[in-house]
Amino acid sequence: MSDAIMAFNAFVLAYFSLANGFCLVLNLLAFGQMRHHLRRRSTMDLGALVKATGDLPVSLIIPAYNESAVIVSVVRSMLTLSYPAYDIIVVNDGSDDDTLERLTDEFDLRPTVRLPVSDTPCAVVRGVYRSNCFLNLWVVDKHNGGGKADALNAGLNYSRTPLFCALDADTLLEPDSLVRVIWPFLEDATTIAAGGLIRIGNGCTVDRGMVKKVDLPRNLLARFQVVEYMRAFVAARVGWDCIGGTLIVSGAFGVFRRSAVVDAGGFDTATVGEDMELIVRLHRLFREAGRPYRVAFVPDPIAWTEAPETLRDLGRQRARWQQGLVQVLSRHRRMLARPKYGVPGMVAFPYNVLVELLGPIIEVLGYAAFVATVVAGWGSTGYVAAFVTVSIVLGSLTSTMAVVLQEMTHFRYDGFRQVLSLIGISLVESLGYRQLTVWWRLRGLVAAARMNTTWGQMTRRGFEPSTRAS
Amino acid sequence: MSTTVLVTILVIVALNVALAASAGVVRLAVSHQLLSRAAVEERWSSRIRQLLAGETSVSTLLPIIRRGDRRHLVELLTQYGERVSGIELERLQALGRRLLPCAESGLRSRHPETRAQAAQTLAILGGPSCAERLLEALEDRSPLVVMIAAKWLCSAREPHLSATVVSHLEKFDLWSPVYLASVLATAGSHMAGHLREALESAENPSRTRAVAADALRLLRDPKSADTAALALESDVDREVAAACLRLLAVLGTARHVEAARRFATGDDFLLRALSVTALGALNNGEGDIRILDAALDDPSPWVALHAAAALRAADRLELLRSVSKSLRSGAKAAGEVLVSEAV
Repeated sequence: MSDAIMAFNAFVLAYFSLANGFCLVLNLLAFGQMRHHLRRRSTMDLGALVKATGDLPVSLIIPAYNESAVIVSVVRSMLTLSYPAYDIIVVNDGSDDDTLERLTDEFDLRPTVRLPVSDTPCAVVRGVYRSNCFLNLWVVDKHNGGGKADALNAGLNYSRTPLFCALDADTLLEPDSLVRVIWPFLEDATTIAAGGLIRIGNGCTVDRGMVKKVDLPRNLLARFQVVEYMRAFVAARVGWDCIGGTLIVSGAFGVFRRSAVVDAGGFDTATVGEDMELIVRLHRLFREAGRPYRVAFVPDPIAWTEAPETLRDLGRQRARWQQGLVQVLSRHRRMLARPKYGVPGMVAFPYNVLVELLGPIIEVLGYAAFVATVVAGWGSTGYVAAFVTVSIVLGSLTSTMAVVLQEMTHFRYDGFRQVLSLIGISLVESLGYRQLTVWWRLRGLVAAARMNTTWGQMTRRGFEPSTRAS
Repeated sequence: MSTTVLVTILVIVALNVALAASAGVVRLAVSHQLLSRAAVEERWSSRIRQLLAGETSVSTLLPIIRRGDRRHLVELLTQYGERVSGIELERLQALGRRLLPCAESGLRSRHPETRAQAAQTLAILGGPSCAERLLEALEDRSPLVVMIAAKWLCSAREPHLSATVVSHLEKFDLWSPVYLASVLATAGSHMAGHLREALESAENPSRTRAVAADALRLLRDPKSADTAALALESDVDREVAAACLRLLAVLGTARHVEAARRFATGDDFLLRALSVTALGALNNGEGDIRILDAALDDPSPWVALHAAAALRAADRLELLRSVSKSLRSGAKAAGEVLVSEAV
């Protein structure tokens, strides 16, 4: 028995070392890529870009299910973008709160006629509205189709622009975010999708839909998520983009070539990870057809989102993300380790299977084996120190690197105190918070096994004081 | 515990601590850089404005430029250069040219982004005197450098520079045709002759011809309608046909209707849609109105919408009203156009 556990311990140590080591490599790639990007950004003439994008209109598609707390401020923020030609299509996804009423009152919506130009499957559309005061604002009112993918498909059917931008109903864009995220489509006509940075907006000062002052959230859970998002977006996604292995463009802020998505059949309504599933499917379809394409990540344009601040909401979100991951990997498993699918199939897919998918299981068993080893007195001091180092310290290293990367490039948190707080969070993240996320991810695996496809409901506080419930 | 394990653990812990400390160092370094830049801006903004207004001269300013300020000053001058033109730009360039050696070394960098930035600085601050260097940059292996050079060569509005850019169009294969056309159009009417030649020549790649057509449309070049119509009458591919139809919709006249009409009943929905748009703009009589009316019932919603918009452009609101009240498949498209007309 002790031999089996010690063998398993050795496996766990090797696993943590390799997994965290790979993340470190991605972070190092991210440093290089970010330096390229900063140099490139200095050549970007935003004014000329804005002018050029006049012939590249975009539809912003915002699915909204019971989002009355935030929808008005989000739409207001979208109306101030410095982009010459865009439509906003809010899809009221069968809300049973006053989402539609708030939009109607605020933006003077009137029922109108609008022909859908594609027939991507979605639930029945009850009506289309247009704002009398903002002629580029449309609302598609439909029956609930069971998830965000269905709402996005409805928006897709009513959008008429060559590009569309999928957003969450709690996403706030900065005025130049759209221009910056469109850049890959201008410099490379084969680009079919591009994502930007998602940052945590909790704690920021928001006025009329615009982030005026950036600050860290007061809520500790949200602060942990700030560091997590840095690790995921500022570091990992940049690293993956460097090697062409981007498997996800976040549904909270992603731009897609409309024709590519329609031809691929739209968003998959049978998964809760519809954003990742679409990108993986696009990789597969384009590679199978031998067509050149590009999926890009731009580490520059920022979208602010509201992070869950309760254990319940955060747990649900993480379980849903894990569940979505399982669905996507299962659906496209034929891509796994096949040279035909290039870096996405040979590197990104195996990584997601071995680390993101199996990671929670191995980690939980690893902790259990560690405890058993220590209690039974089988482990040496060296083993204990090694376990703590690879499972906790090495994990912290990737987070700390992400904070350093963000300091080099984005400089959004003004105060030194905030930087210290972020460093502190990155050092202690693996002492409890990470283990919590592992537990939630395990629950997601169980839900996937049970084929549960519900989204659940997050409590929205809203960004602006006037919209928050007392 | 073995020595190897101990050393490895110590290294990882030390790395973590070092990185944590480096975040603070990076913050200080970036803060210092931003402060330096802000200080240069504060010292020089009013002087630059005086220079632009002609209230001071280059000979007055040159002696007071600190060595350490040069890099930030060049960046500041470049920012101003993107926003001014005419005599103000000439005054700015008179100062900027004296600082160009600072930027020229960037052209030899192994990083394409650095070369691109150097090219941009030379273009803005060097003006016509740097045209030769920018022409050399058109041969750079990086598409970014080539595009930066092309952009500024076009905006110089010199015929011989425009011609060179057009002859290098195949280097921009990757770039979005929309962006490329927009860049070419900044060259102004000087470019039109070269672009017409590019569109006319069947030996040119389709992408080049399509971009030329789109740029001509943006330039509103009236002579290009004949060129586009001729192209449509030959065997052209989808990309070129679409661009020529878009051009005819804006610049065509009655004598170009035949060229546009032949695509109205073809197999390709995009070309049908663009064809009906052109017919609506060219408005050549009842025969074409019947084509547009029939197109309202096209199986493609894009064609139906374009047909409805074309009928509106041809001032056939009564026809649209009658279709919108009918049971025809085109009723919704007609209704949508009427509703937007009412708005």
